[in-house]
Amino acid sequence: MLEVKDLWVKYRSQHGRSVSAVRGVNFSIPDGTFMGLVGESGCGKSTLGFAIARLLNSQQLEISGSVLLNGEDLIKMSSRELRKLRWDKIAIVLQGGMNAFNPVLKIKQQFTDVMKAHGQGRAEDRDQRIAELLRHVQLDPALLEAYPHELSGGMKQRVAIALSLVLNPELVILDEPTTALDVIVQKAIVEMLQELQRHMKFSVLFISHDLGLVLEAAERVMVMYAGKIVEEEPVEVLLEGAKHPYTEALLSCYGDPQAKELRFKGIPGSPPDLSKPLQGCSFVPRCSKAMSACRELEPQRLELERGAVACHLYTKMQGGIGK
Amino acid sequence: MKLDEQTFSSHKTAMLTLKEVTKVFKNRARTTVALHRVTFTVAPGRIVALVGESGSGKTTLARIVTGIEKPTEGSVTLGEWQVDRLRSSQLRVYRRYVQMVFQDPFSSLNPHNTVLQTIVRPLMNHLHLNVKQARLQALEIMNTVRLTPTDQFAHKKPHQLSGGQRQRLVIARAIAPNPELIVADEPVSMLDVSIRADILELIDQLRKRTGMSVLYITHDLYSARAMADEVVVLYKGHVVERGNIEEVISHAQHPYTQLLLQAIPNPWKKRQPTAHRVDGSESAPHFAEIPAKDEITLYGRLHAGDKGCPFAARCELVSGECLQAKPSLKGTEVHQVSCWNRQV
Repeated sequence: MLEVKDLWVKYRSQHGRSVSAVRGVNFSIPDGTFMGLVGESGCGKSTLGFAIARLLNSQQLEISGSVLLNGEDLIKMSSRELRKLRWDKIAIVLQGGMNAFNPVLKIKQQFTDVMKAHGQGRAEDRDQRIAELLRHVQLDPALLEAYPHELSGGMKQRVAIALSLVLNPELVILDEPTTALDVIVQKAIVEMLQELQRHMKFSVLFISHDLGLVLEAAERVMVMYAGKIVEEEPVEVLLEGAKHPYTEALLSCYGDPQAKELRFKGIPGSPPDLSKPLQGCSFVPRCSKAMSACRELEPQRLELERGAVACHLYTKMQGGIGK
Repeated sequence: MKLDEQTFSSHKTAMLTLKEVTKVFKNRARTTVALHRVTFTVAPGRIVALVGESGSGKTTLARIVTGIEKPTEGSVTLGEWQVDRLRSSQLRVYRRYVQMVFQDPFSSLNPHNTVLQTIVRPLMNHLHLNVKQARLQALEIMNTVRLTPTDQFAHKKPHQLSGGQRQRLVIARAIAPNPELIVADEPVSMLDVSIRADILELIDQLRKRTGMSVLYITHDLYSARAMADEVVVLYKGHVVERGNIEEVISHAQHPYTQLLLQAIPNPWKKRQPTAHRVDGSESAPHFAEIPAKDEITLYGRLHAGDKGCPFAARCELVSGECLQAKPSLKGTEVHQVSCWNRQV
């Protein structure tokens, strides 16, 4: 179980203007959940993913709050403790991850490096495990002897996913794993990922800018805007009707391509500058439902029956404003 | 060969015609057929979407249309321009009539130049305006693409603009010389969904206003439907389906076009899996079942000696004929398909 509590990430810049990329994020991912995280570029979704995996350079930023994996706080861990935990408990697949293989090592070696570093068994067992993983991601085990450049982009991303699963982690973070791939390959990889997740029961944090893809892939989805989670819900609840006006606007950018009538809309305006202090709700300038309270008071995360939303439309309904 | 400048710029009449365009790349190791007898036209004021995946030859086609690359066989004409026979001195003039918009607005602008300079340059180079005229004209173009207020944007440099604003600037630069045709290669795929609609709408407005035609290259059938009048589906350099966009999307016949349509994320469909399978059955397709080795076929090059249908290796409908000979485009005026097993 992953719990993130009041997580803040602030990038320091040389000019003294620091940028708060993640601003007080709270959520949890129960074991075996396929969680999606969606937002536009610059909303802080990748920073959040990196912060959870502790992949950020702490010299260039301030990070506060806690990230608890089974009750242990990753933020407070030493790099030695972290090294043990990575791959073993938490693994990450990146958008460009398929190009991050060591080009002079065979696929097999990329796996054995990780396994050896974590003290995994005899050579025969290792080979068997790698072959099994490659079959899981629908690749021919013969590719063990291939070099990265011999594989296509989609195949490399499959290998990257297999590699992330090598030590049976509890949580896999995938940051835009299919963005660089063709639509058909993307579809195949996402379906494969869902199958693996159901079968091996790890939890997933799937980060993407593509709401349509996330809604298709995930069980629950979090929508991020300007460093905050503005809505979190099971996918089927969101599809019935988005609560936050931002989610609603984002949803209207997608549609069924074969529907009789095509609705194709955008969202006017652009996200706020996170290097400046914000007052009130960060979505106000682009929101069609903004009220006076929205300009003054920042809406807090409000727990609903099956999700959560941070918007005054709902605090008001519950008599929350002014309390 | 040179066209009358005045008539060319006031109302646009140039038709882009590709006839049996074949492009073969050769090196010592292998011969790659990037395009195989591609034939289609883009009428003045029309938007034609060229849809296909990586390696389908869509970028090669764009390079041929813009004169960067010469076809191995076949002919390309735009109005009176015989594009495949242009010499480099003629190419410079030709480029006034064909402009490109690229995918990445972050790397297709000179970081040293301000917004104004970026638009002024093609006006001076191609239309031979003096600095003063060019500046006035550039400000007007900024208004057209809504880089407003113009006095605020005129002296900004690319790094001070957002992705959407940069793409507007790229479009402004492209329309500055009043081209006949714009080749837009994935102009929105790097932008956030929230601004895509805006940019596509801008391109649509511009063609209505100026009468230019647009060759819209994309892998995204959804955005193609939002903007284009016609669609050409390209697979491994072959046109597999072609026609009126509404017609092709609502009655897609080629198994590849159907696969492309089903691959578009569609969360609304998930709960009611009625997507017709390639074989016509009711169950949803299992993409995970497509063996990964097919990705090699997908990205693998087509060789000169290959005689069957280019899609045969991935096709569920494959029959003996498919491996023996290439099907040709057949159908009605508004919809044609190239398949041994499917007809319009």
